[in-house]
Amino acid sequence: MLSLSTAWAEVTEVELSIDGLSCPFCVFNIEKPLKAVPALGSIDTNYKKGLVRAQVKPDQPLELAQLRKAVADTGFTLRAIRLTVIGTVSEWEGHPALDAGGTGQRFLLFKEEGASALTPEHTIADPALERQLAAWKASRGLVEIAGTVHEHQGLPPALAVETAQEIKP
Amino acid sequence: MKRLVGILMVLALVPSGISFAAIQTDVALTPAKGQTILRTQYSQTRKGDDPTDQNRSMTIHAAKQVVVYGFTDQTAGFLVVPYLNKDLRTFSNGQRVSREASGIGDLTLFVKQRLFRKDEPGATTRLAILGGLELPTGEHDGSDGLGRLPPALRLGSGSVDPLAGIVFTRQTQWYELSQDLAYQVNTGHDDLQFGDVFRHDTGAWFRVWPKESPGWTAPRALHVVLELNGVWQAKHRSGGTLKDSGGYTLFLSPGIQFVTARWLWEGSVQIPIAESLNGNELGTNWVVTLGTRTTF
Repeated sequence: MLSLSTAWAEVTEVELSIDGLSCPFCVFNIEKPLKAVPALGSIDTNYKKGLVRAQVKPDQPLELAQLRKAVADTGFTLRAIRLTVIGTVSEWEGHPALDAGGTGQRFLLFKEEGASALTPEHTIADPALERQLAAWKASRGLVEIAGTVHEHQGLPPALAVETAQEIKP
Repeated sequence: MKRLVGILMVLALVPSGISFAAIQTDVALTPAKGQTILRTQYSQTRKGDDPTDQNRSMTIHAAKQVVVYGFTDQTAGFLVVPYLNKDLRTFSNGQRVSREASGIGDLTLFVKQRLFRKDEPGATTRLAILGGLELPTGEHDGSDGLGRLPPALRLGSGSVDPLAGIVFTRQTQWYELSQDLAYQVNTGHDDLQFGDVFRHDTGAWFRVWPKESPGWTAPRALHVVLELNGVWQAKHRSGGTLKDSGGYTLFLSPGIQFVTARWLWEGSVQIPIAESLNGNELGTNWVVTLGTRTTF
């Protein structure tokens, strides 16, 4: 796993799972640096679950590295980043992928991840979703996919798909 | 007041190895990088139990401002600025005599460096060390119509005094436990060297309201606090050791805190449950502390 990647535009919502939120002051501590991330709009925190949800401003580039740094500076631990992304389904070296609009940013799509490395064999373990993605790829329709970010050396960032739906024009 | 029974009762109530000093110590405060915690505290200390026939008593009003700044996510700098008013009253030849000193005390500057952190959902465990200096900003050679003020009435030590310590914290959304230990070497100035000071703070807070941690709404909480604060001081030296100086006091300190995402209000009463003093020193009757904290 690694860390650096940039997700541009078309990301509409970010949800961060953060470990260590153990006092009311922690909520202010975590929200303050995130409010300084230019791409983020309104921010809400679920104290009980350790979740921070932020809306992404339209047409603003969102850099995952900025999110990681903002959380690291607070002294808490970032466990996961969940994104909601709008784009069109495509393919990258045999993997289903989501192209986020005209920015060129691409997310590999997974239903579940295998052991330690991404390979085409275990990219999608859900036949129904695989068929749906193939149909959306053929139609070039706009889809909204939400999932947890996985990053691997030398590969585009990936989303472990949790929800996927077509956006009707 | 030597209340060994009291100590044993407290030790029986507090599981070994736990604690934290929510109100009576500053070292557990930790801001994020680039953020500041501002703590304002007022305390009133009443001393008495004069073993001599002078019926002495002393009241200390202290206003303390603490500024903590996060240099990095692991390193924080502390500035502690006390303002003191000390009033010593005695009976001499049938007359009440009052001696008083007011002004800024010795500033303390120290840095806390985190060595260990383990975060879990809704909980964190941390260990840090600290080191710094107490600076001679308080008046140490004040006098009044009766002559030079006695050591207990002076506002400062007159010396640059290094200190070091360690602090452990285990905090969840339901409780916090922590322990800190700190030692200050008093180097002395002119004819007087205050005794070195060792402090230990053991304590805990428990959330009593709300019953469930809030979800997407701004968190607020009411904590009950129980601390055990010990202060040991070596005898002062001036040529030889001063017999009416030094000793050990152990306080049981129940308190309460109300905390929101930006503000915290707190109050505590320190009751000495064990005191072993030397010579004709005044014992501590009680200490009342009120304070607030904010972060920005």
